[in-house]
Amino acid sequence: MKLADTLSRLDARVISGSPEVEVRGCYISDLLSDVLAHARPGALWVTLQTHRNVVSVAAMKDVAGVLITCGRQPDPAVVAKAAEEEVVLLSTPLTTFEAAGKLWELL
Amino acid sequence: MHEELSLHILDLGMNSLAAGATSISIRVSEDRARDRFALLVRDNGRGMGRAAFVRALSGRGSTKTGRRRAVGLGLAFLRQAAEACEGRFRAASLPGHGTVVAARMRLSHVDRPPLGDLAATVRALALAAPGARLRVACRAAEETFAFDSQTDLNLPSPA
Repeated sequence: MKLADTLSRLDARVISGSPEVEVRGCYISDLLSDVLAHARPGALWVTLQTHRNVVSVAAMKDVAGVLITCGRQPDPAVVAKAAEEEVVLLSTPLTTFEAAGKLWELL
Repeated sequence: MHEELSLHILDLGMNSLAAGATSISIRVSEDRARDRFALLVRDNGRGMGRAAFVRALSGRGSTKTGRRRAVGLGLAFLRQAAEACEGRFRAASLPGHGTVVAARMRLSHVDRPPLGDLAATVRALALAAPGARLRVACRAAEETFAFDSQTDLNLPSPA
């Protein structure tokens, strides 16, 4: 499934990058070292963190994208870094639990 | 960021060893009266020039190239942890002399990670580089101790 095909169900909007990428699975964690250890390439990473380190970890793990929950918005500097690193950032007003529920049905 | 502050310290200590340090000093302190947690790691490794240092602070520190880098986030993670806990992060490096990294946080901050297993971190560092001198001073609620690998370790000398 393409990341773009999940957007409407997740009520998500694209903050950076193109969602025309294949998404294989999902990983949910707010602890960055845990994501480094366990996220798989191609997964959608769901978190409420918006720190610039999120972009570094996402690029390193080659995830399909990062879904930021609870309506949080990263700083413009973080968005610029994501564009530079070609990391897809999405934002949704849903809570992490709600987003997980939708993703469980989709993926 | 990491789950325990001891893992941040392990990360920094391994950076020091990777930089060829023969002496590493670690200080950890909890000050309840001032509601402050502080940690400092100082080494005599090869240090970093300005460009490498700025890269390390921004989480692009690895000297490996390409999109998939295995390392290079240690300083960026610690800075994030400090800033998330009403603290601050300081680091300085001088090529040929070494690097010092210091972070402090509000001790009672709800997001401050626990100190964790500092003894395991010290053990791992001591075993990773038996030739390097490792000094640790810890003043925390859970434990207070001082360690110096030169006097407190009896490792068999290499054959």
